[in-house]
Amino acid sequence: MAEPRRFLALVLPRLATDRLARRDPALSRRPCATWQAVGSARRLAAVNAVAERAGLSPGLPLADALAALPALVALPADRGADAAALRALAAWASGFTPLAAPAPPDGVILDITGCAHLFGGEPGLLAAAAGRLRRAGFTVRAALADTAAGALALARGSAEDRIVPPGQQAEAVSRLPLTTLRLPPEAAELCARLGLDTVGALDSLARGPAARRLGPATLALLDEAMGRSTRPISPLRPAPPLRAVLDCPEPLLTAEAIATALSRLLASLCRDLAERDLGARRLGLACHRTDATLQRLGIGTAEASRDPDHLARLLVPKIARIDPGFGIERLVLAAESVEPLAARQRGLPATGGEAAARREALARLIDRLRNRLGQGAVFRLDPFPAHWPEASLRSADPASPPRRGPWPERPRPLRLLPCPRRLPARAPLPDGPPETIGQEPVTRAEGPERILPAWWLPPAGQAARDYWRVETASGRRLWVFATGEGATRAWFLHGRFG
Amino acid sequence: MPATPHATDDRRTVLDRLRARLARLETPPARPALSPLPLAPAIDRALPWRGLCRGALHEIVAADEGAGVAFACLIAARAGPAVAWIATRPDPCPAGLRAWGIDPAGLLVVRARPEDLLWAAEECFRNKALDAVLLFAPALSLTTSRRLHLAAEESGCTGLILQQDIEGRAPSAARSRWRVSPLPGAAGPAHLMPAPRWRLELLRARGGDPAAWTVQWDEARRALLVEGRADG
Repeated sequence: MAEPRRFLALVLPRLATDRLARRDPALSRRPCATWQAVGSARRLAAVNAVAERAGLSPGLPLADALAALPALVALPADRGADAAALRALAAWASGFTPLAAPAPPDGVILDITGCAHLFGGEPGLLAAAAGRLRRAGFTVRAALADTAAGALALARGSAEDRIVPPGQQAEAVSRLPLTTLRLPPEAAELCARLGLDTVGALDSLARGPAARRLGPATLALLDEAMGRSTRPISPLRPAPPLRAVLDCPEPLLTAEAIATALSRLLASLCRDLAERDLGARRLGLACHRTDATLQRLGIGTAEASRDPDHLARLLVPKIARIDPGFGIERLVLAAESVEPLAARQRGLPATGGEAAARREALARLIDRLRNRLGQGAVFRLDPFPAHWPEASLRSADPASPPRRGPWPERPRPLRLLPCPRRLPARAPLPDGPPETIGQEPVTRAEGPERILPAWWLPPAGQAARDYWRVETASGRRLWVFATGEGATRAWFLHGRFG
Repeated sequence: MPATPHATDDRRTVLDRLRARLARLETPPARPALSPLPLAPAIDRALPWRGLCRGALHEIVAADEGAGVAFACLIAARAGPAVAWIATRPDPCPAGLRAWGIDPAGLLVVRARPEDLLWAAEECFRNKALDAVLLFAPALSLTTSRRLHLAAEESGCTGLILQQDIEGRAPSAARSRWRVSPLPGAAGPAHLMPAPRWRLELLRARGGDPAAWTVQWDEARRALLVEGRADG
C-alpha cells in the first residue's frame, strides 16, 4: 500500500496588508487596511495587526474606520495582485516539495509526502517553511495533516502551528469553527441560519438531506477535511512542460493500440499548444515498458505545427520501430522544441489566402517525405561561392528563405554529374577542344572556360579545368573538361545540356 | 395492375432523381477548369487539349537524357514556380535550369531509394503545393500510373515522367507520351554552340493522333520554335 499522504498548509490571513508592507516597510508600524466596494458601500477587506489592535476588522465601512482611526492608511484591495503573490509563494514553496499549489484566497498547500525527513521530520519542515515566511514579513499559520482541506482548515482555525498525527484528523477538525472550511457562500449562509457553528455539527447531520440542501460540493469538502477522502493537489510548476502522459491500465502490445493511445496524447498536447499559441518543431515519444525500460522515437517538422492529424501522420509510421516487449504501460509525448504559432493553424482551412495554404501544404509534404526518406533527402539547391561547379551548390532546407543568387552567368548544363566521369575523348591540340568522344565526332565546341582550383584549400596541387560546351554529330550537347598537362591530360564529362 | 399516369410520373421523377444522384457521384466535384499548358502554336493545334493538359501524367521517353529533361523542364516551368525533381540520384544543376525557365528557389529536390520512389511521387502528386513534378522512374505498371494519374488529377499537379527509351512498353494511364531526340544544331560557326534542336515525337495522346515536329529552343524568348512537321 502506498505511503499515506501528508499535507502542509500555510495560511496567510493578512496576505493583502503583508504584501503591501513588504513593498513599504513603514506600513507595518502604522494601521493599514485595504478596502473594496460592496454594493454602494466601501468596506474594509483586510486589516493589519496594528489596525486590528485599534479595533478595526474586515467588513467595517471605510467611513466608520476612518472616523475611528484617522491615521489609518486605506488602500484599494487588489485581488489580482493578491492571487499573483499567492502563486509566487507556491512557486517558492516548490523548494520544499515539487508538489506545491496555491490555495486561494489565502493559503498555499504543499504535498510533503516523503519530503519531511529532508528537513528533520515534520516539525522541522513546518518550522522551516513557516519560519522563512515569517522572517519575510508574512503572518503565517501552519498546519500539517492528512488531507489538503483538513490542513487548511486547521491552519485557519488554530492560533498556533499544529501537527496532527496521521489518523487523528477527524477529531481535531470537528472542533474547528465551520468558517474555517471556506464553504461556498450559499452553503455557509445556510449553515449559519441552521445554527451549525462547528465542523463537527455539520458532520453530525444526516448525509442525504444535508447533500440535498447544501450541495454535494460542501459534503465533498467536509469529507476531505475530516480525512475520509483525499484529492491530489494540482501542483504549480514554474514552467509547465508541454507534454501529455497516458498511463495504460492494460499494457499495450500492438501497433494499433499504440496508435490509438498516440492520437489521444496528440489531441491533448495540441490543445495545450493552442492555449499557449505555440507549435511543435520536435516531438518525442517515450514508451515506458513494463520491464522498466524505455523506448523512444522522435519527429521533426519543417514548420511549427499543432495539427494533430498532421503530427499523427508523421509519428504513426514510426510506431513499427517500437519494440513493446512485454507491454507498454506509460506513454509520454513531449514537445521538445516549440515555436510561436499564430492561431490560424489547427487543421482548419488557412485564412491567410492561397499562398499561405500552399506554404503550409508544402511544409507538410516536406515533413512527410523527410520522415520516410531521411532529413537530407529533401532539399533545395542554393548557390555557394566555390570554384568547382560540383562544390558551388549547397543543399538547403526548403522551408528556409531562399538565396536567389548569384548564379554563374556563364552557360551551365541542365544536369550536373555529382562526380565528373572520365571520357574516352581525343584532342589534336594541347589546348584545343576534343575532336572525338568515343567513336563520335565532335561537330561544335565552345570554350574554353578555365576554372581554377581554390588553391588555398586542400588538397594542394589540383590542376585547373578547361571546360568546353560541345555538340556531337548526333546532336548531344555535353559539358566536358580537360585537366592536366601533356601526357596526363584527361577528359571528363561533367554535365548535359538540353 | 396497370400503372396509372400518376404512378408513371412518379416513377419517372424518382428515376430522374436517381440518375442525377449517380451523375453527381460519378463525376468529380466541379473545380475550376485548368488551362492547358502551351508548348508552341503548331503543336498545341495537334493536341486534343489545345496545349498540354494539367493535372495529368505525361511520359517523356528520353532518347538523350539532356534533351528529354530539358523538354520536361520547359513544360514544368510553364505549369508554375513550384516544381519537384524526384529521382534515386537527382542531379539538377540550378544554374542551367534557369535557362529553361525554372526558378531554383522553387525547386524541391527529392532523393528516394528505388523502393520509395513511387511513394514519394504519389505524395508529391497528391500535394496541392506543387505545380509540376519531374519523376525519373523506370517503366510504371498500368496500376501505378493510374494511381499517380488520379493523384495528379485531384491536385491539379502536372506529372512529367522521364523514362528510358525501351521497346514494347506497357499500357499506361498517362495522357500523352513523347520522345525527344537531339538533332544537330542549325548551321553556323564551329566554335559557337547552336540553339538546341530536337525531333519531338508525340507517340501517343489520348484522343489525338501521333505526330512529330522538328523544334528549336529560343532561349532569349523562352519559346519553342517549330521548324516543321517531321512525320515519317
